[in-house]
Amino acid sequence: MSSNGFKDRVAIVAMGCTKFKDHWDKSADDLVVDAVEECITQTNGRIELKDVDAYWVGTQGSGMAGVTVSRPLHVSAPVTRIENYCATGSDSLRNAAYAVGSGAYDMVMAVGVEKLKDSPYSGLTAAWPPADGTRVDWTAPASFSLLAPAYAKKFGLDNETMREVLTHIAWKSHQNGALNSRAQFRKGVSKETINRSPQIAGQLGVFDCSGVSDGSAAAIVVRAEDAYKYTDTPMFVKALSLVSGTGAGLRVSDYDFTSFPEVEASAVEAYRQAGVSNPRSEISFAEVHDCFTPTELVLMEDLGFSERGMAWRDVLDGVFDLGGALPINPDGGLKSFGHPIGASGLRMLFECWLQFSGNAGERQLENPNLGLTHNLGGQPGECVSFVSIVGNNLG
Amino acid sequence: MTGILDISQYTPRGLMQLSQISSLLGTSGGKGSRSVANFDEDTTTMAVEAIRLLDSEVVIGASSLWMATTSPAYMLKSNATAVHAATQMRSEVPSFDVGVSLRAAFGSLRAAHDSRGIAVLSDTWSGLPGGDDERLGADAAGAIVFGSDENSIAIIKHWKSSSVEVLERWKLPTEIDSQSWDDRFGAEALGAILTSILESENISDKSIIAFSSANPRSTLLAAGPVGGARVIPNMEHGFSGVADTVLKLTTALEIAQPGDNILLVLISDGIELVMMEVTERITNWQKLNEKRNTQRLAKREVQYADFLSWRGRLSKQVPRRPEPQAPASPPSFRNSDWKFGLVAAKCHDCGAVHAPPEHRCRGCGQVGNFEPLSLSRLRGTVVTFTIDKLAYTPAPPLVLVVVDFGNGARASFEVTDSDSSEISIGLKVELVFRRINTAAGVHNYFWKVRPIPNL
Repeated sequence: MSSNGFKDRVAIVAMGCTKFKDHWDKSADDLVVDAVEECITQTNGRIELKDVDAYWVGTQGSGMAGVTVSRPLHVSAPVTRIENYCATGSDSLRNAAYAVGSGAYDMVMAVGVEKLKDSPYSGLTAAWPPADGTRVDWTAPASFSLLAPAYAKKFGLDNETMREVLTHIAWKSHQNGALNSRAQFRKGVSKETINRSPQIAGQLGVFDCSGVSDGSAAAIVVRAEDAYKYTDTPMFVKALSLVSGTGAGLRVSDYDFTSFPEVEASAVEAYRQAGVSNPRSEISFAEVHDCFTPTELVLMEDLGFSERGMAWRDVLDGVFDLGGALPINPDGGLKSFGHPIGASGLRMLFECWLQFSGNAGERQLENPNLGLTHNLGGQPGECVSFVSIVGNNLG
Repeated sequence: MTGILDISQYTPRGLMQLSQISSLLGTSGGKGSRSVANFDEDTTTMAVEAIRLLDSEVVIGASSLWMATTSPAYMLKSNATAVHAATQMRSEVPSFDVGVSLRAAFGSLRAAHDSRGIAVLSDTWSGLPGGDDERLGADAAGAIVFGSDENSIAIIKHWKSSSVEVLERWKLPTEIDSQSWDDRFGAEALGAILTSILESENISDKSIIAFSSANPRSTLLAAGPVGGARVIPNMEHGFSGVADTVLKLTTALEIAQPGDNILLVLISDGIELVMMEVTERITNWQKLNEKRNTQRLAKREVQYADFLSWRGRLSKQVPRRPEPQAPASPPSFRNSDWKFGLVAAKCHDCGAVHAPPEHRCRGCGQVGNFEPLSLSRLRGTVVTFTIDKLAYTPAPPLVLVVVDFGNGARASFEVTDSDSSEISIGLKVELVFRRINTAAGVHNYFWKVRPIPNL
């Protein structure tokens, strides 16, 4: 894979993000309006909606076409709707960024929205095209549960240790989420409660799974050289990479369910673009796709934060805790926010935005300069992986 | 002359203790057990199981397929063609549905005999909760291949028939419950004709007689006037409709010696009889049959509540998940070899196997140059598995596996006919044709896996 990189060509100059929760009183339209309104308001009049040249909206199923944002915002503008599994929100930002980077537009907006709680279902669902009925219908927890026994077996972890590792990941995320007013779940959860939670699939209990919520987030993107016109704390895009896999993991006999090759490839590409050679020491913090606890464990290795077979040790050593060497999901992650699909990728960038502008409150990290967001869709063996690297300085 | 080349029987792994019925409903009686088709089985899938137990060479050579049942999975649309597709019979081999009375048993046998083809008889038999048909019924299938007498285990000598219009057991097409007249009437109404037909046969101590009837009193009465012949008792796990004839004939062949003659008699809306003479080849078949019997999974207890729920008589709360999507007709049609026959595509150039078939080779990138490769008789190995408690299944929990076929191909399947505790990484599994679900009035047939018994 080769790409020409994208370092420091564009910057995010404003962001908005709704609370993520059961918004019984709000529609997808309302959520879009709220996220965009927050985004515009914080520019203190330096940006108005009419200044935005074009929009990219990510939603998996809460709207069709560009009217998902043009109608509620009452704007007549070029709007592209994006769907790319659970990486939908991130991919809307990626495409928006490319549009500015290409010179086609001066200012664009990426919006992500998902309204899940108007459906009665447990977990996520999708509308698939008509088919022959031969595809196994993996629920998300079932497909991701395959990671845990495979990882434990390959690296010689007994059941008790594996449980301890997964519990630590969930515990850490809920600790972080408790400090975040926008999170769906705002209470710490004891390790005993996590250990005892009812089984959903394989070794995964309720507390190993992310929740289901509604939410929306938005970002305004401009050329890097224009960034300081709009804010004192722009967030510069250092790398954007996306890998859509071949699906070989579910069809060819050489995949062992202990990694996501797509994630590894997208990370390598992002580090190349950003000029990062040692992610563990150079990345200040990361927002990763912790849809299930074993996913986060495996991601630590695929993103190069831990050596192969060593992430479980790093987890137990607290490396990824809020006060650790490399905080992961300081905002509480999907575990605390739930996963309104189209919004999640932008929610991750929103935490970066807060951290860089010093507005992360009790979660504020000391002098962060490079943040990574990672967004994953599909299932182990057949997935789409997005990685971005953002920073608060040029160069 | 024409004879029987091979015969097989399939009974589901599920077994229900009849005492469960009496303890739930407060009815009397209830000794023993009945066989119960799993929630994902129907007469079509059981027919496939029965044919897959036959010698595969013999199946390939068969010139026709006649499928009999009183409980067709579909009306109007053929079920025989689904069986034909799942057993990968040659497209020019004709297949026909025979139904829907119990006399379809002999209809299919005579048609298969006359055309030297396969008769497959498959039924699910039940009735109102607490009633005789539920208690005495069973679910099973059997298959018989007819061919040249030189290769036969039994040579067909003659058929006798008597059609009688009598209202004994019946069901309206729109109803799920059967009705019957007093059993004593039914048995006695046909008794005289049965006696006269039996008297015209040359019955001796070399004779084995198997009577099949839905009326328990009929088989009892019939056993009276048969002199020194051995009579095959009713099946231990119940009366399986049209399949009962094949199950009883199999039992007769299991105890037969060369030179014996077997009379198979159906008592239903008249009398049907076939007489056959057992050949020297029976000894080899008995060894083969013995081996098949050791390769069956041990029986598995079915709860009465599950039985009632699977038969649509008890509705249960389902998880908050979307209804399954019905398979669409055009993709099912163009992927029919995969869906029904589990036929993968092997690259002509590099040999890579694609399951399901793909248009562009993963191995070498060429487009469109593949040969068919059936996976349905291969053994698979469980690479990994999970127990999914979120997904809906009529028999929770749903167990899903990723299976490698040893030729580079990998695919995902549901597990059936087993408890989750029986599944482990590295386990060898076999493929079974099942009904995944029924949605919007469409049955979704595909393959699942189950452990290989006594490996």
